[in-house]
Amino acid sequence: MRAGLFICWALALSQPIFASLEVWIEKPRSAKMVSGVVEIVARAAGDEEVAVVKFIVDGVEVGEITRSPFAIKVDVGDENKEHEFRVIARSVVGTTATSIVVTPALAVDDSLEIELQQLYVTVTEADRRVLDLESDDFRIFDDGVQQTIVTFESGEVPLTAAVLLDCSLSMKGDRLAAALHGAKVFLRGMNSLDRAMIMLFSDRLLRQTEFTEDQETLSGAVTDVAAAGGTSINDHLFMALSRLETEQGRRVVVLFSDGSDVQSVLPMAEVLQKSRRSQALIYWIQLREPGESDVPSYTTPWRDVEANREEFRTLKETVVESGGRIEAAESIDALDEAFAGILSELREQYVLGYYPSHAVGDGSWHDVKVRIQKRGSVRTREGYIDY
Amino acid sequence: MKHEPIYLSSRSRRRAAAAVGIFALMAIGPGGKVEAASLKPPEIKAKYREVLATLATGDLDRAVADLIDFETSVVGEEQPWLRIESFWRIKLRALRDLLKADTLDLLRPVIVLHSEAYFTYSEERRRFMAGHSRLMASELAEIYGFRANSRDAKVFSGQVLTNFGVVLWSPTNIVQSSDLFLRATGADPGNTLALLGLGTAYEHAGNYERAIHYLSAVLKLEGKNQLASLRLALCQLRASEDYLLEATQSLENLSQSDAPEWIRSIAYQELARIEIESGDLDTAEALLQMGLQSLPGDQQLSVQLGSVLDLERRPKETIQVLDAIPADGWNRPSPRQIYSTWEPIGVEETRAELRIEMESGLDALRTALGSLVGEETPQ
Repeated sequence: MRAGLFICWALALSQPIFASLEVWIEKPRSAKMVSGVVEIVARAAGDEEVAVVKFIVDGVEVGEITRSPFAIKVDVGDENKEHEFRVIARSVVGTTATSIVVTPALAVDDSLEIELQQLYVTVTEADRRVLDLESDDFRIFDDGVQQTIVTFESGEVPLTAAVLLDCSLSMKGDRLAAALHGAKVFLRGMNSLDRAMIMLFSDRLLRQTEFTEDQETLSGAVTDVAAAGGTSINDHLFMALSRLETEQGRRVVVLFSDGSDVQSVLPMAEVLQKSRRSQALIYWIQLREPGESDVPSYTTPWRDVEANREEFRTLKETVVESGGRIEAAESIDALDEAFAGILSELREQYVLGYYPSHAVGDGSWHDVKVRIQKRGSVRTREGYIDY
Repeated sequence: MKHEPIYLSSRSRRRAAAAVGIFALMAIGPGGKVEAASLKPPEIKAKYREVLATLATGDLDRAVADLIDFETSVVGEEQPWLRIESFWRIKLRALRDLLKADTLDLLRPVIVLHSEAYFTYSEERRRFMAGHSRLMASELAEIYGFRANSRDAKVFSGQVLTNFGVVLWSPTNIVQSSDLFLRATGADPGNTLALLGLGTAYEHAGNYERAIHYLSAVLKLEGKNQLASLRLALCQLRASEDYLLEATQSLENLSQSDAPEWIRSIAYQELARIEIESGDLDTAEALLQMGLQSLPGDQQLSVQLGSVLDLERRPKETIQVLDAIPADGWNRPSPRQIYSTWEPIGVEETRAELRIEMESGLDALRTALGSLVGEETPQ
């Protein structure tokens, strides 16, 4: 919303002020945040010949150009803050024209330009999370090229979660009751700025709420639930990722399921593509029997053993690539802890933002690596599709 | 006309022995604790003949009740597996005596007798004795189908075996059913229900070429069987690209047919999948829109359309399509769930038919029993 208002303002100010001499800023002119070296490009036109164009950034004159092209580069620094770019053109007869563009600082919950990549980073050392890192401790590499970190947040960053619960017949009884209880633990642990939606599914959508922070609505959705039907993880994961796209800020899917997909119309590979275009973290709480193999060895009416294994592998890949993780729960008693553990991890993440230096919007896959200067191991999404 | 005496084939003996072993592991159902009577084999044989005599009067229900009382008294309700194998042999010897005298058609009522006993035991949750009755009926049916050498006998045999296959069918346990369907088609290659069951079983097992074999056989006999047509097309798509044209044609026909909604939905889904995989998203979208026009509110078509729109970078339309999906599917299984959990039906109808068809063997049974009157029961 804030970004939208800004666009109107910026566009209005960059329109010509005097008909005899017009000047406007071509770059930067969108609502996106800028940092580092910024190229300022101005155009001037009118009845009168331009004598000079002055460039002023944040109230400080940074240069002037007397002939076209009216472009200079200036380093505005890496700090996440608002910048004002002002260009004043003066004609040979003394007429002046001014154009102003203000670029915003970014807050984590802002509506973001698609180019900004946000990484939710979990740092652990010996199974404990490392919580005292600063922006300078991180290095981001996008396809091997180090990037400039333009936003940095840690601690209690609000989140929007889609909580997906598998209510298929195999969950009947204690399993479902424990899953619903675990979901309630998750919901109760949410902060006042957090939002969530509940999606109960089997082979079809059973119940769904809107995204809301209202605990009553959310808790009500995980009450009085009966198990029914088969399992379609892929379809509902796709639906959740799609619905999360309408939300802002940090987006998370928490999937609870005891089994593999059987009845989905979408192959998991298609959901993986969706996930790569999304910035949502996916956590999968997988209820399985103690000692149960992690590799499917069964056929279904829709897939043979190898195809089922491929689906399963791709689901795991999707989860890991998103920067989330698989929480294997070998007992229904472990479910509360599993749900609470995910929420705790989300509370203790770092949020890093950067503009990819070589984004071209060609739909290609970008590998992302985050390294830290200090101790600990890092987990974050493994990449994204460049749109 | 004389027939060779009935002996269990080595395969049948193995099956019977295995069944005894398997049943021994099962918990028996609730009930009284009738102890096994200490009867000698000739007495057992005589009592079995009495049951058959009751059956020969045409009173099947009474014969079933008598058989159950008799069997319970012989094997008891405590650990019946300890005595079942010898009991099984004695009953077969009694039948062998009958077959010395008459046609194999007398087996018709005997098969139905044991088949009906199976259903009664099942209702009483006496799983061990139910299994024994099913084994008895299915073995006799197979023998009858192979040895009677008449079209009627083969069809009858196929019906009995198929009906047990249908009863035992479960989407998650298809082995027992498949065995019965296979034996049914061995007796009667024209039994389309058994062929469809086999095709489905092989599909569930991921053996698509075998599934194609059986499903094609169904369609040769019943060209308008829409379920077989759908299953065949899906198996073809999974088996090889060589079938692509044929499968596509079948799916197009089904999508435009009067088939149940779930079959048409899957036909549209699979047609769209073919286009998605070939990279033609426009055609996939058009197919899915057409499907949704015909089947409004279908979740799986909507999700697939949403995914196509998303691949086409049309996120707002994706959300619109997904938002229209009703979140109230408790009592509306998805088309793919119906496909997954399809179960063959018609058990009661077949039972009723068999009760009628057994009557053609009653005369033979009466004659055979009559010929044994006064004859000393062999040891």
